Amino acid sequence: MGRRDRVVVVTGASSGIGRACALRFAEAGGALVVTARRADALEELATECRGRGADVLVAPADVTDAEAMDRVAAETVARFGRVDVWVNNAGVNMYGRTEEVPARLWHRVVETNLFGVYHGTRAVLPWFREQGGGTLINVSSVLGHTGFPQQSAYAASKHGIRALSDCVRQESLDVKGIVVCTVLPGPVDTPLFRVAANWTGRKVVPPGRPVSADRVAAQVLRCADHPRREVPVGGASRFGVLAARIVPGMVERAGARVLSRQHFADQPTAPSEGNLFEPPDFGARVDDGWRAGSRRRSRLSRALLVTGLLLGVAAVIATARAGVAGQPIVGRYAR
Amino acid sequence: MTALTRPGEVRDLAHDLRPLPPGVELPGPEEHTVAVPAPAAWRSRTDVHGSASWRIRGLRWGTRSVRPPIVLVHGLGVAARMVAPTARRLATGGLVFAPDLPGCGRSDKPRPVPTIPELGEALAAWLRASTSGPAVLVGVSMGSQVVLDVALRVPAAVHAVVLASPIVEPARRRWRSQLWRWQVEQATQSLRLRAIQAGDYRRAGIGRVLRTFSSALSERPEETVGRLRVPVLVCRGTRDPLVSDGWARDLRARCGGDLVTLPGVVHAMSHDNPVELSRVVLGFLDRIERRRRAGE
Repeated sequence: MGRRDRVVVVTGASSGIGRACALRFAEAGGALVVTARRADALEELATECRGRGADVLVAPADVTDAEAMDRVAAETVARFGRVDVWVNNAGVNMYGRTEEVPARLWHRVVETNLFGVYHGTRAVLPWFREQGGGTLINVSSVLGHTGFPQQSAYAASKHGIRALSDCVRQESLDVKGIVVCTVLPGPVDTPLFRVAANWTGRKVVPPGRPVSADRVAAQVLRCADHPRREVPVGGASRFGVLAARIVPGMVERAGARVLSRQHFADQPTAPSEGNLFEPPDFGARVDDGWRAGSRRRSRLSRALLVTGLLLGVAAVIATARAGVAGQPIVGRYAR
Repeated sequence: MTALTRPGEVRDLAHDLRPLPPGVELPGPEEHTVAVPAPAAWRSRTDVHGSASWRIRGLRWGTRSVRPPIVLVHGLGVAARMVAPTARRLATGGLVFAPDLPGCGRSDKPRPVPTIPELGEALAAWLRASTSGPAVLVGVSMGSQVVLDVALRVPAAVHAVVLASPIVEPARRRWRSQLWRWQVEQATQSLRLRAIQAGDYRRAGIGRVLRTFSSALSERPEETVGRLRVPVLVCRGTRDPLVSDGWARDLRARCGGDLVTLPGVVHAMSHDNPVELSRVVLGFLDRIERRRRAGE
C-alpha cells in the first residue's frame, strides 16, 4: 500500500503531537480517522485535513473507554475497509509528589496514558491479524526510560507503554505484517504543560528547549514508512535514553537535582486537576508557544553572550595596553 | 432486564462486523442449481415458444443464519468465482449465494443474448426460488445494474442493496471512452483474477460479452436508483479507472444511501480486495440494524 492508500487512526488528535500527526498524515493523502474527547476541536481539525487532501472520519471517544475504542476501530474498517496505521498518542500529565497527590488523579493518569494505549492496541490488533498486517505506533516518552521527580504517574505509565509495546511485538511475531513502534519524545512544545494537573504549588514550564510537535509527527510518519522498535525524538531525548541505559543512577540524580529546578517557575499556582477528567475549552492547537519563548530567551542570552564577549575582549585589550604602556615603547621599536 | 430471550433478540448482542478469530477456517462452497422460467421479453424475441426455462447454477456458502442471506452478483462476462473470496468471508456469519448469471459460467447459455432487464427478471425469479426471507443484494461492476433491476422488480424480497464499483457513468457511456478505460482497469487486476477472467470469457464467448456490455451501456442506473425504497450502499475503490468519485457521489445523492470510498481498492474488489469489501458490507448491515432500532 502506498502512502496515498493508507488508512491512519490517530488518538488524542485534538491538540499537540496528535494534531501535528494528523496534519502530516493528511498531507500525504489517504484516509484519516481522528479521535479525542472534544468533538468540536476534531471537526475543526477535520476541515483542515480535508483541505490538505485526506478523507477524514471524525470519531470522538475517550481512550479510557475500552468499548469506545473498539467502536472507533470498527467504524474505521466499516468506512475504509482497512486500518493500516494506528497511532496511540493520547496522554495527560500530572505534577506533584507521589504521596501528596490524590489517588484518583494518579489512577486517572495511568488510565489515560497506559490503559488508553492498551485499549487502542486491543481494539486494532484483531483487525491487523485479519488483514495480515498493520503498523502500531505508541507514543511513550524519554520518561519511559528514566524516572523524574514529581511525575511518578506519568513516568510509570510511559514505562508501561514501552513494556506493553514490547510484549505486543513479541505476541504478534506470527503475523509478519504487524509491526509495533515506540516513539520517545523529550519535552515537546504542546499545550500538555499548561493543561497538566498540578499539585506542586508552582507553575510548570518545559525543561530545556522543547522540540516542536511537528518534529515528533515527522518521526511518527517515518515509523509508518520504515518501522523501528524505538525512536527517540530530538537530541536531548536521544542523549537521555542513552545515558539512562549506561549510567542510570547518575541520570536519576542529575534529573532530581538539575532538571527539577528547571521544570518549575517561581510562580505560585493553586492545585488543579488540569484536563484529567474534563477536556479544557482551550488549547486545541499543536503548540503552546514555548519554543517561541525559548527562542526569545536564547536571543536575549545570545545578545548577553556577545556583549560579554565584547566586554571581555575590550578588557583584555585594555589590560594589555595598560601593561604595554608601562614599557618603553620607543625602546622596542628602536631595536 | 429479563432473563427471557426471544429469538429476535439474538441480533441485539451480535454485531455482523467482527474481526475473524485467528485460525478460523473459512467455509467451502456447495453447488446450487435453480431452474427459472425464461423472461417473457426474451421469449418474444426468440423462435422457441413454450416452456423455455433457464438453469442458473451457482455457489452457496453456509447454511442458515440470523442475518439476512447475502447474494453476490458478478460482473461482465465472468462468473461466481470472481466473487468467491468475498463470499467466503461473508459466509462466516451466515448464508451467502453467488449465482452465475444466465450466459456466464456454468449456467445455461440462452441465445439471443439476454439484455440487462431480462437478466434482472431471471435473477428475481431465482431469488424467490432460492431464499425465503429478504436478501442483501451485492452487485459488483455490471452486476450492480442487474441488482438494481431485481430490487425494483421484487422489493419485498430485498433487504438492502450494495452497489460495488457501479458502472456505467453517463458522461462515459460510449464504446470509445469505455474500451481504453477497460484496458487501464485490466492493469489493476491480479494475475489470478486475469486467469479466472480468461477462462470465464472463453466460456461465455466474446460475442456475448460485447452484446451484454452494449445492453449495459443503454441502461440508466442514475434514473432507476432513485426509485429504490431499501437502504443502498455505494462502494468505490480509489484505484478504479471506470468509476469516478463524482459519479459515486451522484448515485449516492440520488438514492439517499451511504457512500464508502476505499483507499487503494481496485475495480474488481470482490476478488482482489475481499477483506475490504466484506468489512464494509457487514458494517453497512450493522448500520441498517442500528438505524432500524433507533427508528422504532
